[in-house]
Amino acid sequence: MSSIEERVRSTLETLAGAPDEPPVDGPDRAAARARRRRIRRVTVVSFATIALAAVATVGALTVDGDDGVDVELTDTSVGTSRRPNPSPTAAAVSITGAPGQIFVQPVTGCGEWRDTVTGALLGTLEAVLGDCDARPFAVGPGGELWYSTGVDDEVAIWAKGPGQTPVMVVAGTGTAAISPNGRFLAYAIGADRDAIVVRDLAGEQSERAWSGLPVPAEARWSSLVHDLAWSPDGSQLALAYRFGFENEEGEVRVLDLDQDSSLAEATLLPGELEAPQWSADGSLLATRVDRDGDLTREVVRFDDIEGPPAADDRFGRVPVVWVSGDRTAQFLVGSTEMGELYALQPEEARRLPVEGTFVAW
Amino acid sequence: VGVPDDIGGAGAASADRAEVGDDDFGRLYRAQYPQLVGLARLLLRDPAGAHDAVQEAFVRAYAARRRIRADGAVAYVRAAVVNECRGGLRRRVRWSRRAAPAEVAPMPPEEHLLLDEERRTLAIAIAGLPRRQRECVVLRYWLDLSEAEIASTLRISTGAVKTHAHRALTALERALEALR
Repeated sequence: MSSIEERVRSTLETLAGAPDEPPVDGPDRAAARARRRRIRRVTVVSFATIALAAVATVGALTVDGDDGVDVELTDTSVGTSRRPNPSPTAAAVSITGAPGQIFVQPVTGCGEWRDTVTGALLGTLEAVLGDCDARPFAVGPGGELWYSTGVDDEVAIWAKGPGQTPVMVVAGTGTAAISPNGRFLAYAIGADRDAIVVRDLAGEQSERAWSGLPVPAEARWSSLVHDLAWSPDGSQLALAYRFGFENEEGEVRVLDLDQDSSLAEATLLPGELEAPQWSADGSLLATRVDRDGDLTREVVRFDDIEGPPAADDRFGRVPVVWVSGDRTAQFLVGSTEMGELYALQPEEARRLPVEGTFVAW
Repeated sequence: VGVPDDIGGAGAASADRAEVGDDDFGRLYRAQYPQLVGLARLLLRDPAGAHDAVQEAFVRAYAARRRIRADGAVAYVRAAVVNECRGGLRRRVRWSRRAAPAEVAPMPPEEHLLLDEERRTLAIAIAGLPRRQRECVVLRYWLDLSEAEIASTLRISTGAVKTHAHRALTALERALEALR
């Protein structure tokens, strides 16, 4: 009897059918359509150029996309010399709780910490945890590394202090996030991971819970809440959840933690949004937005959520990270589907100092 | 199913960091189109939509050809096809949600005729897999991609690829067991 792999392979070959020849006018047609599309994208390209020019002026993380994934780290506090790509196969770059360090997640292999100035390798995830598949998401005020293991709705949350053995803090959740002051842990619970608990990590570890997420009847996703993001002042929690056939549709709500309201009453952001990231002053929320199947990234002005986005980026397709470059400016960092890293400065983003040593990933 | 990673010319091989020229693009199009339509057909289960997705992916690739390294062109277009298929599914779901309650798409009649009972069961089970699991299965067993290549295409870790593929095969085995 054939193995399951062979049966799957055979079934797929039948389903795929006989090879189709490309339309004879294909390349020309593609070229013509591409030319039309280029014209439509002029304004976007111009915006990106302006944004990158602004980055170069004030310093932060800049990108040379000519070589696919080249990224240069610049910082006006130490000069603007060009430095090498910290990781030629970087898929994502994050900032850590430690000043001067950047966490790079390669496409394959272990994540690693590098010096933001020199690009020098400072350590690897494997050396710290002995596990490449763990996903770090925060560095606590005491230097403890917070990370998750597992997938879907069976995620475990761990904490490991310097020189200590890892401790499992929560098991069987969908996602979790640490508050900016490191005191509270928010995570998803419930059979569908459709409720939120905030645990006070100090003292008696008390908990508060919120439920009532308006979930459509046809929801099939194993973990409905898949992203949590604390506002910088710790008073609000943005939660992204998905639902529906193929689990591709989602929304973002912002829960005011001072209120005992249900999640159904939490502020619903327009559009189909996911992966929210707050700016340092809490006035902007960067998200992925699905507009009729076309994924873009936008920066929502939180004090005017119905208004136009502060910035948009049609090319980004991965979660975004706010980076405080020279500690006075804020930038979005992301990568395209092919791993090109770049920075984007939202229009009118206010220049604010970044305080403390804890910064969410 | 083999995937030629060279886009079709000696020039490409000798200048692997060069951009993709118009001639290279034409060769890439002719060499990869049939297989990518098969990929899109498996992800979308919609023959007409599959052609549209591949055409659109090539349009994107053409527009970006000066940013693409010659040795990465196949991977670029492949990733673009996967993204187009995701977009196509979202649009289809959105339309079905407006028109009628969402349902799992029924098996197209031509597929029903082509498949014996076991393969029919597998086809339905594959269609019912979560998106990432289905993508991993198709990329692994249709395109014969390595875990690293799948990870690169889907922008996930190789560990996640292993997890999704393992879960998918477990689910498919259960579907076959239920048939017996």
